[in-house]
Amino acid sequence: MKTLDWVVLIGTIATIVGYGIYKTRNIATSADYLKGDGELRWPTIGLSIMATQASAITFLSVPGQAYEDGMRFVQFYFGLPIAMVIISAVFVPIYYKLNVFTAYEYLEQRFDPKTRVLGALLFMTGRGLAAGISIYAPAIILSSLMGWDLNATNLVLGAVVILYTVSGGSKAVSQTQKQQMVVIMGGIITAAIVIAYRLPDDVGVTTAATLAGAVGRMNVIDFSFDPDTRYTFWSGITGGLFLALSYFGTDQSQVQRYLGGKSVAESRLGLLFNGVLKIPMQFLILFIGIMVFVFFLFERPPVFFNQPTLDAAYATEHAPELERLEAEWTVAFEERKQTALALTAAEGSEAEAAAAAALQAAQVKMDGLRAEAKTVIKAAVPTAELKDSDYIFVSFVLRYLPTGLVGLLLAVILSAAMSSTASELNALGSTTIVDLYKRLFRPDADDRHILRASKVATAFWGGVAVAFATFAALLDNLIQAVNILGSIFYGVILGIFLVAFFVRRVRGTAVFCAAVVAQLGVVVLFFTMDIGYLWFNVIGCVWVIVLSLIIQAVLPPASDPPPKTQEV
Amino acid sequence: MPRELAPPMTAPDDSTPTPAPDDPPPLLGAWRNLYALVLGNLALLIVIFWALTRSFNVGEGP
Repeated sequence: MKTLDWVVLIGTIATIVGYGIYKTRNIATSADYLKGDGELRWPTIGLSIMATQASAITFLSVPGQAYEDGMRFVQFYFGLPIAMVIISAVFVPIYYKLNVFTAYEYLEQRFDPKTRVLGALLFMTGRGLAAGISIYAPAIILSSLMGWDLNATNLVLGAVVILYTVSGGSKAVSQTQKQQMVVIMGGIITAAIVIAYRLPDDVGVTTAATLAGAVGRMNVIDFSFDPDTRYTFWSGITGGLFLALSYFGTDQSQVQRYLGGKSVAESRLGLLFNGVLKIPMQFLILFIGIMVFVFFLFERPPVFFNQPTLDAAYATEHAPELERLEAEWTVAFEERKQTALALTAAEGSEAEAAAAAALQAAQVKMDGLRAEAKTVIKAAVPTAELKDSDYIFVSFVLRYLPTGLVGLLLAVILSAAMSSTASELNALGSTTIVDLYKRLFRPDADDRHILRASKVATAFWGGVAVAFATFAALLDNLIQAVNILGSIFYGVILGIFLVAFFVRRVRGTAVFCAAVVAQLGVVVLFFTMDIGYLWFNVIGCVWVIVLSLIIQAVLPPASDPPPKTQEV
Repeated sequence: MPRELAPPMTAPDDSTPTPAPDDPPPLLGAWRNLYALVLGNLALLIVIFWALTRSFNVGEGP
């Protein structure tokens, strides 16, 4: 990285963090700290919601996913706008009416204290680990490619987030996220323009789409019912709806973003803003991956994008095998380049179909060589992670983007890492204090004590996240493990909230027992059956609803007090 | 005014001004119209994506 890149990177991050600390220097009450001053307008709320969801992995993984698998991942977000409407219409007015600080407070008012504590603990377990991953995931990739020390990267990234999150609380998170989203959006639009500019003169956006489509990467939408296909219209509109309802409606890291709004209307507009813009934003990020793919039709790509791992493989006795594959790779690339040029020339003519078929055949050959190279790398370095798609976009940025823009794109990735981690720490600190410490141990504590305790709790979770990120390298398949862990808990939490909102007759003891049984059942399923982990969201949710109805029907009518609040 | 922490096991504090849930949106007159706009936008995006797939995706998927 050149000096200008460092200036852009450090200048951008320091400006955002400094602005966040400056704007929140007068935080004096726990309410201000935990919820903001209740003055947030919808643009800030909307950007904050988007920034919380957009982690660094969004910018590292998603373009690489499009490069390898095409555009179909965008369908995963089809349920999100529907969830935004449901949360705006149902969840938000209730949270506001009850004046809650956390989503789990509502569970006490609707059910009882034990259900609130259960909801808070389930959230803290899943989100506490995810906060570590939010730091670790970009750190492992950036440290590997940039030659930075992994532990130092974890520590610096974590320390910067802890600094402004502990200092300014919820308002600092929202204020910095507004700036971070501006950097993120500006960065990805700039990247898209620069990549388009780097394509050959006769390859415009339409031709790029034609080239990508010839090898099946413009597969934006798929209406098939094939259960073996992970991303289809149907899985997106149903599974995506479940996930988005759970994440945006019951996960405190998101709920906290819109609870700080000036009014119900501002919070709703912030959520709907996300409902309108999220899919186009994901489409653009995926399409950047498509543009990178098209760029590499004309510029030789590496056979394996994780260069440090490739170097490690070359240092073994498998080097001659890799050299032979690299030579074949170069020949195959030249052949594919010629077919891509032929298709570009034939676009719109009768020869287009034949040229597209030739490009597809050349692509199949290159895919085969890449798979063979991965097999050799695995033999050379048995501990190597063969999934290199997370390295595609950042490798492209480091190698082909102009000085200055490299710093900006790294600022985008680090901004995304900081924005999602800050929300997580802020939510974990709030839930620890509001739902556990104040509720169970210090109900009479004065406001200054709660403010201090909130800062300590936020710093504690920051320390946990950094420590987890530091030791994360010791675990295999870490990201998948945490995703599985999240899915195991998310469904049960959503089930509790759906019962709270929509099933009037169910009381606290019934839903609590149902949630405990459902959670144990999901854990047993996880260890005994081989089913896709995304299904745990649906199974956990449905089990809570059905079991709570059954248990409520069996329990004596007077076993629980009536709820303090109305359902919808 | 900043809101205080809600005390445990109590009903909502009626003295705290809570926003009326039925405040109209700043545009389109009613929330249901705004919700329809969001869902209509989703439908439009799906149609555009379908058209893009039909127009460009001639090859077999990865």
